[in-house]
Amino acid sequence: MLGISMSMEKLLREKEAYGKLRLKLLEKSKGKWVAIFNGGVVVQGDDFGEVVKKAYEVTGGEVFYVTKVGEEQKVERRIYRNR
Amino acid sequence: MSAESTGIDETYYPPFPWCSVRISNLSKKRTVTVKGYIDTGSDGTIVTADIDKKLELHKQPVTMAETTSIGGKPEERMLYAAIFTIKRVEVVTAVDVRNDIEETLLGRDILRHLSLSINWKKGTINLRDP
Repeated sequence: MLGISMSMEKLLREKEAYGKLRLKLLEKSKGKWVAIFNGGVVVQGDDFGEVVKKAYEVTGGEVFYVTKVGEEQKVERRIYRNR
Repeated sequence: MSAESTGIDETYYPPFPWCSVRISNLSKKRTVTVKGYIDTGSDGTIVTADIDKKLELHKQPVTMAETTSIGGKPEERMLYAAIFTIKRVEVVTAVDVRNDIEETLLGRDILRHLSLSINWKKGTINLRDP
C-alpha cells in the first residue's frame, strides 16, 4: 500500500495527465465525471460516487484522480462558510 | 455516542443540529459511527484527523480542491474518498481531513441527497431519504 506522500505524488501525476487529455475530453465527454489512472480515462459517468466506486474496483484500490470535464474549477473549489 | 440518530447540540451557541452518520473507507473494511454536524453553509464535508487515522482515508485521495473559509486565504488541499451512510442513504464523496476541528461537518455535498427539516423551537430534526 502506498504511503501518504506517495499517494499524493500519484494523484498529482494523474492530475497532470488529465491536463494533457483535457482538450480531447472536452470534445466527447464534456460534463462527465472521469477517473484518470495511469495517464488515461478508466471510468466516466454522470455521478461522482458511481465513478469513484467503479474506478476503485477497476484499479484494485490504487490511486486515481477524479474531476468533471469542463467544470474543474467549479467542482474543485470549496468554501466553508461556517469555519 | 447516544442512541438517538438526530439532535440539536445545546453545548454550542447557537445550538448545532446533528445526525448519526456511518463513515467507511471505499473497501468498507473500516467503519466508524459518529455525530455529523449539519453544516448547510459548507460546500463540502470535513472529517477529523482521528477519523482519517481509523479509516485510513489518506490512502485514497481522489481529487484536489482550493478550500477557503470566510476571511481566510485559499488553500490547495487533497480530498479523500469516503462513504457516508445516513438514514440508509449511501453517499460517496470526497472529504477534507483537518486536524484543526473536533467534529465531523456534513456539507451540502452530502445533505443534497437527503430531505431535511429542522424545527429549532421544538428541537427536532426530520432527516430522511427523499
